[in-house]
Amino acid sequence: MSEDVAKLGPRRHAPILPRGEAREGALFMVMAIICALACLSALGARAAYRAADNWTASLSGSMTVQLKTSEDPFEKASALQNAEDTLRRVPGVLKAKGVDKARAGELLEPWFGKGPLPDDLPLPSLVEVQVDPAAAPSPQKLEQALRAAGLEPQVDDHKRWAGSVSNAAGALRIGALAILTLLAAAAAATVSFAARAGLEARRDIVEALHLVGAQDRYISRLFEHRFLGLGVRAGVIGAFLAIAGSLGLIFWLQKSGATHLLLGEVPLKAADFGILALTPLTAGLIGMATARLSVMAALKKLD
Amino acid sequence: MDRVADISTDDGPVVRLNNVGVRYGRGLEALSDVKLSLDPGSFHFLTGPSGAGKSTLLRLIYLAQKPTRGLVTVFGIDAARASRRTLAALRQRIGVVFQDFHLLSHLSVFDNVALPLRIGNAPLKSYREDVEELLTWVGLKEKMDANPETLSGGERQRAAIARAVVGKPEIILADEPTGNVDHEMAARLMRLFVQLNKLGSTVVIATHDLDLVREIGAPVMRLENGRLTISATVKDDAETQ
Repeated sequence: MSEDVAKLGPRRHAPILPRGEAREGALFMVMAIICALACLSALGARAAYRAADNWTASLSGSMTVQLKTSEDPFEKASALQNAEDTLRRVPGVLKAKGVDKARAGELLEPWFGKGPLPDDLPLPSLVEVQVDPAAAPSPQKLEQALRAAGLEPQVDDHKRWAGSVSNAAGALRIGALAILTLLAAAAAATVSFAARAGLEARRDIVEALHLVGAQDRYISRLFEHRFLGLGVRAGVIGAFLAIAGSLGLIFWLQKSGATHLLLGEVPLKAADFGILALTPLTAGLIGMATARLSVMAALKKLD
Repeated sequence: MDRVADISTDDGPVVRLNNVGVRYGRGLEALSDVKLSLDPGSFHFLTGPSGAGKSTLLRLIYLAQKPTRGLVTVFGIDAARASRRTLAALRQRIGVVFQDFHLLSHLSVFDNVALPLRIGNAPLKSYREDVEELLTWVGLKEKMDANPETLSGGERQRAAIARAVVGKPEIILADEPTGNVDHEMAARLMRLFVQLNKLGSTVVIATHDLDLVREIGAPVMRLENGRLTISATVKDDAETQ
């Protein structure tokens, strides 16, 4: 080594693709927003699914019996008591409780508000029945027992309602997957456009690399690494935006009391954080793969 | 990245052009019926008036362009049939000095010169010393970390030459490599080309500087109206100017 050269200090290469162009800032913003929307749609779908599961689980362990009675309050009370006693004797029934006026007031509170129900409001004679989900009696068996006790019952096991909830949850899942697919396609199209624009804008670099003998894969890798990094960073910011959005929504729902009606519980679970953690990786891989395909295709057209 | 010493070569010429024609659009042929054979370790000048096709001929040899007709082989490989991968690998064995330098403005002089070595994924420490010594030799020691846009024309030319020869290529092509430097530096750069030629590189230098051609005394290829003639010395060539 010559003396002059030996005196020189540490040296590092500058990146072949220059950093920090204005175009990349705008692309980063778009990618971060797409990632945030993708996270929110995934989290929303999972929360709706969980709520549907909770609803169907609680419905599958319960039945409602409606009794045909006269409007006479004493006859009504007697029929309800008779039904409760009869139902408790049926194997598989855990609990049977008539819906009195106070309980009816609780159930109708969202529509009539707090306080006693109007005296002239006609109320059906209902019995709430909780059954053992592992050994639940059939609605026909309950009906038979009640008819044998001299009552005129109509038993509802909520299957129609549970089916509707299940169908709605299925539709939500398909909708969420469609939105995720569209967002992934939007991200890929955005990266593809940016990669091609970057290739065109830095044609001088591509030409210089070509002329010194760089393989297409080498040139492509420069863009792949750039868009991998950009995707990961945008994914991190997008995931944080989604967390902030979700927490804001949860706070608003809790404050308005809507969680009880809509979701029944706070929607962020451990698996949700798994989705958020995977977002940067997924965004980075989409960016990298799209950049590779776009740049390789564009290079073939350059000569 | 493969440096493709393994790409098959025969013992014949490193570059061969046979009945080569190049036409742009529907105009006249820029090169017409060119026959050329460059042996390993040969040294040639390429002269001719502006627009005679010198740059086109060099582009054919460094595989940046395919002929409209005829055969071009480089290291025994038919350029028209070679894959993109093979062409890139062949280009790694050719050092080119461009008339417009093709230096990257966002990289330092050092990084520009090191580019042919860097694309081979070699670690910086394995070639840093060579690059710095070469830059010192071409008088750019103090400008290693400078941006090429801050350099004079002559300095850029020297940086471009350093980049072309840093990988000790088997073929060196230079398009007016001394056009922007003073005579002393021109002579110095020519000595570099001669030294590399003595080490085995095949050298072709396109130039208008006939004094330089006379000084070196190498065979001269002359292009006029797209047609190539080859003479043993500049004297013959000068007579046809």
